[in-house]
Amino acid sequence: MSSRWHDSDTVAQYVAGTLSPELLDGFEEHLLECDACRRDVRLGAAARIALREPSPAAAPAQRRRQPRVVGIVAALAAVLLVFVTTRRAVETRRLGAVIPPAFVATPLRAPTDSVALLVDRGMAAYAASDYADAATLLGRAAATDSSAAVAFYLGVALMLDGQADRAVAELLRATQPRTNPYASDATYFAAKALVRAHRADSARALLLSAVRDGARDARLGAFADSIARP
Amino acid sequence: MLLSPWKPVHGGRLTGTRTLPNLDVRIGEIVDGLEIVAMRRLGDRDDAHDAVQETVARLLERVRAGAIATEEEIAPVAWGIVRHVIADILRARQRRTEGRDDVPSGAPGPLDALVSADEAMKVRVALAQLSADDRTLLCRCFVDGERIGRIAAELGEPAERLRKRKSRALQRLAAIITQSGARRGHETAAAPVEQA
Repeated sequence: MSSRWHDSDTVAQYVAGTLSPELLDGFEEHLLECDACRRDVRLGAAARIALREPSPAAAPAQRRRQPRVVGIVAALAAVLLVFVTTRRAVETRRLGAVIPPAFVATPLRAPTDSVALLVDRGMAAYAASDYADAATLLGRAAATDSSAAVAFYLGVALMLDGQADRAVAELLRATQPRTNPYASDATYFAAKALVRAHRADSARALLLSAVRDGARDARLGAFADSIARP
Repeated sequence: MLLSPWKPVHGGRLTGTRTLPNLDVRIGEIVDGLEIVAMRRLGDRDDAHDAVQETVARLLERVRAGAIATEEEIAPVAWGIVRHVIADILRARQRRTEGRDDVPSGAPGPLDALVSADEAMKVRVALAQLSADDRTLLCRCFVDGERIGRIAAELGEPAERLRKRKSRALQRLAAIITQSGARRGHETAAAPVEQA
């Protein structure tokens, strides 16, 4: 049994789903033999569920505190303005943080047309974290292929390439119809893109609307709750 | 057991078939790990249960056939089998979804089904007893998947100090859950300990 896996970062990243693909196999093989890691994974998974949900105890800590500037001299007000602006930027960065949804290609047959080839190349770029190339290639494919799958990964690639506004449009397209397998993920990532585009209110409205419509993805309500109310 | 308890496949008794010492004990341990792996990769409780059962069935066939000579070979062989079984299930799923091969695998909380509603509730109560800073730290680690080194750099604190804080928070969490009887019997022996 190798002790290289006995690292709390590894367990936490495994539970959070962010452990790199190169480490996944090795860690899971190790799990079959290591009772301590299995116990930590189960504890972490339970903690993750509870931490993802809005908790009355945790909520106040998540709310942005509004600095009180009454009676403060102009110089101090300027300092506070910088502070608030920085804090908002940090908040936007925090709320807009995403873990790119994984894509593992399992080719069934070679692509038979140019659009399928474009999608394949785009997804290869996506899997290699080359989001600029992925956005370009998938954008060309999307001109012909209107599937939710292409719109979803194109939206995520655009967002990770820093094009939040365009990402919103593609991800919203991927939310329709509501029965498509990408709808829930697309709603979540569209909200992330809206936050990145400094439209947190719209993000919250989108999430709450999806919850009202019966979306069963717990992330949506939790994310809506973590966005400060206007 | 959070998933359905493992039962010998085909109704057979392990004692009647084993050819290795401690086979049933070893398989019982491995099943715990197989559940986690199958749940993460498949994200579905029923499919994960099927994968574990099928893996154990194939494993026992190999033991019976004399293909596994020592106890140490059990885990690596089980690992090889479960990967094939999971791949088969994923392929069958693709056929059901008209050949789609790109459904996002990062579904929300694929390990969620490992946790019962009762256990989640007890963890929630236990978390409320931690400080806000500790909750935030656990959230950044287990929800956002951030590395301690990165969090420490952002906060300007030594990474080792944060590691210890996280370890203590987990220990407290485990202790509270253990006291409330949420953990399974064999898991109550020790709290998790941070290891470098």
